[in-house]
Amino acid sequence: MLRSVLPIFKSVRNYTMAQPVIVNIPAINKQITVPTGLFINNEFVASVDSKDLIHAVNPATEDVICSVVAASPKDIDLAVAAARNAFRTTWGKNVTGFERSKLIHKLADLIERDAQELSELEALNNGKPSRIARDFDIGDSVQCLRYYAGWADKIIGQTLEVDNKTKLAFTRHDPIGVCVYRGTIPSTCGSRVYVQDTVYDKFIILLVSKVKAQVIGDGLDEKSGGGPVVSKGQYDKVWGYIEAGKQEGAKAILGGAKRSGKGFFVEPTIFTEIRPEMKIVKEEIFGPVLSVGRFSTEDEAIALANDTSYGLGAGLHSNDANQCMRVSSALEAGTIWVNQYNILNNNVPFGGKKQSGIGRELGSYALDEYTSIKAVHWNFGEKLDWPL
Amino acid sequence: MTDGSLITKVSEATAKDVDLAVAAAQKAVDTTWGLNAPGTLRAELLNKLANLMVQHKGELSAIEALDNGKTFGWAHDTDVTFAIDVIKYYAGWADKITGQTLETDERKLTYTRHEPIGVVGQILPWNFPPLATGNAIVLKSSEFTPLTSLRMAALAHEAGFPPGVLNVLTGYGNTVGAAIAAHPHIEKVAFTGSTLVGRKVMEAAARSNLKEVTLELGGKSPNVVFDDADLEQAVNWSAHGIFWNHGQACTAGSRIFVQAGIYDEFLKRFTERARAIKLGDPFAAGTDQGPQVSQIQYDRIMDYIASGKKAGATVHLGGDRFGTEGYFINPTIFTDTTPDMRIVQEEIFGPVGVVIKFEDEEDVIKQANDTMYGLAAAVFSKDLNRALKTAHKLRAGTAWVNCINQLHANVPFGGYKQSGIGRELGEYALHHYTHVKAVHVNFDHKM
Repeated sequence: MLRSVLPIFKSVRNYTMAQPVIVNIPAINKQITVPTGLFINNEFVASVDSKDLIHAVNPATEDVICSVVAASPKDIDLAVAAARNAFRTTWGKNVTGFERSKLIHKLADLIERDAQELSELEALNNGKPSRIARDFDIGDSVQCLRYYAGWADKIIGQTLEVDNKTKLAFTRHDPIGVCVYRGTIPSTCGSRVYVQDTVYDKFIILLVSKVKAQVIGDGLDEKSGGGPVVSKGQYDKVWGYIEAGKQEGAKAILGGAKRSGKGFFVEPTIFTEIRPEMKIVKEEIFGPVLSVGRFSTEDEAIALANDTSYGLGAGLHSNDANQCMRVSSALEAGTIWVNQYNILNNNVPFGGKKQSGIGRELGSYALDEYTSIKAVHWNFGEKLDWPL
Repeated sequence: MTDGSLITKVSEATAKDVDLAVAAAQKAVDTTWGLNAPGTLRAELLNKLANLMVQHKGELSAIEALDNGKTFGWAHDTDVTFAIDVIKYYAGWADKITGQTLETDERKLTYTRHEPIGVVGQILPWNFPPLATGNAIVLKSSEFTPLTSLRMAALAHEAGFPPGVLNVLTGYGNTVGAAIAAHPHIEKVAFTGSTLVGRKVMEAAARSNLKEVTLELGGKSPNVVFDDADLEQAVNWSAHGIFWNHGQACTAGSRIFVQAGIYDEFLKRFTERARAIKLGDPFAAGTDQGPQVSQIQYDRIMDYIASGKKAGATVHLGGDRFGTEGYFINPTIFTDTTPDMRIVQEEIFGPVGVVIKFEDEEDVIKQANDTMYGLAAAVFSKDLNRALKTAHKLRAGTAWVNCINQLHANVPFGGYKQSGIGRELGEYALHHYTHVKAVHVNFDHKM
């Protein structure tokens, strides 16, 4: 039952605001105030009926930072109702692209202003080094917002010729309404590397030395190039895969042993002597575990690479341009990196083939996912006789 | 300006200065700009410039009012505001210049690039599309109103545009303008101004290096008011159409065609509106109309008024100077004209409107299109079928239905016939500032 609940909202519930929390970060001698609650209608509110909590954990120390409520289906209903109300009154077609553009720019400016603090929270809760959070995650988010702020006033439909004397046909690219976004981190990890046998040995030596050089530590430590995995659940899952790799006969030439002490740290792990049917080769690990295989011909490499139900990203390295063109054409993935990896640009679409996903983010293509096309046929000159 | 007195003096550039500017622009294109500057950087700089303009909005509006004669209110709320909107709009395009990949043959990769042209000459228009697409500009400002462009140049510097990307020269048309139009190292020129001078620019472009040309020229835009128009609204919009900015608008609805059935009532109310316009100091609150922009313009307009009187048209309102000081002209309405009169055929560029009675659709469309111009047109009618049919038959680059003189940053604008070539604003404008290069990459086709 979706109707405007605002007038009803305040009278039927014990309406209490959720309280902000002061988060202590001793590593950098700082305190950050973080709002808690469910953000609905521009307010942080308590849940309607949920007593369940989500504990925000610092994966470097395993301490609980603070807890937030886990929303219930009733909270979703409220949020959707609020969104629909906004869409009907203060948003949707009630707002011009220019105004949307201004607001998105403003948001980008504010995130940029608070980038340092946001990156420290990220480092605390997620484990990644704060400078990487700041310069990459937050930096890229700001640029992305600005990119789409620039699109807001450029949603262009078409006028279409039907009969120049009597008709006008055109399309409108309307907003859809309420969209539900479940934010998770997409994985483009190049977790399988296939190396041609002529350069295999050299590659392995270089690879191991480069990976060894990275410092894995607390995200708030400037020296860290990588941090712990995000949670206990992930930690256990990743170790499960490492054990499976060993059991199925792969050889761990780097890593493979647990660190002592606190924190969900996983040392970068490299497996060789892999076979296609191994769990570490078929399934998404979502941790610093690399499987390295070998091949002799181009066709073999393509077959090995495509032998998966996934299809998000793929990369290839070659000095032969013709080979680059052939192989990039043959790889079944939504993004192909040639002589690089994991570089995203705001204006280049991103998304998966096969079971990696539906639709594209980034670029102008993303706009198609969030507009619904309406065709309007307007007769201004044809007189209809009936019966025909 | 208001009293005809001198505000200040600026330098007058010569052809040699144009050479220097072009060299600076080319250097920028080869090193810090052009294909060396990514779209995201161009976007950032244009956004910074827009923000600086917002900060200095009062100042820019004041300079415009002082230099140009338009009221401070109009400069502030309309002109400068619109300029800021346009910059922000094009800042958004800067990182969205896309080419195409084209299916030809599986053994090839075929694609297009939309590359910046290089050094472009801008005679008068403040155009942000060239900057958004990576071109370097040599701009000549109007010799009547040189001050705003100079202030903008300083802001562009502050915003961080590399040296040579934007070059602004104050000077005269027959020296600086001519040098730009004929310059062998400028590959494109955009001109805003009269059709007479536009033709000269195009000739010079053809004779020199065949540089690309876009032109935003004059107009004698018809404003068609049918019997079934919302009369009150039609009157208000029509007054706006001709008297806005003292008639100094290329889009001015200067030929007002009114259907016989409502002609008398329309004329009565339209005259009331015109009479109510308050002339005075552009900085005074409550002033609707300031002086014309210069002595030359003032003289030209008065000359047209005299010719109208001489040819036998009726001066229904005005037709004379306002006050004794400054280039002020009273809002003027002519009736009882014939199509061949100069005041009906030629662009006056002042607060002088011609009101013409018509009988039916066929008649008015013929009269409205009987002009060498084709910049804009307006139609007033509550019958949308009729309005659209008429609008589609009027030969003009913009057709306004039940409104007039409305521009938006994202809607293209430009002329048919001798009103110009090319389109400004909207996505279309970008096409004039990029060159399309097709690249064919063969990887497996053996010869």
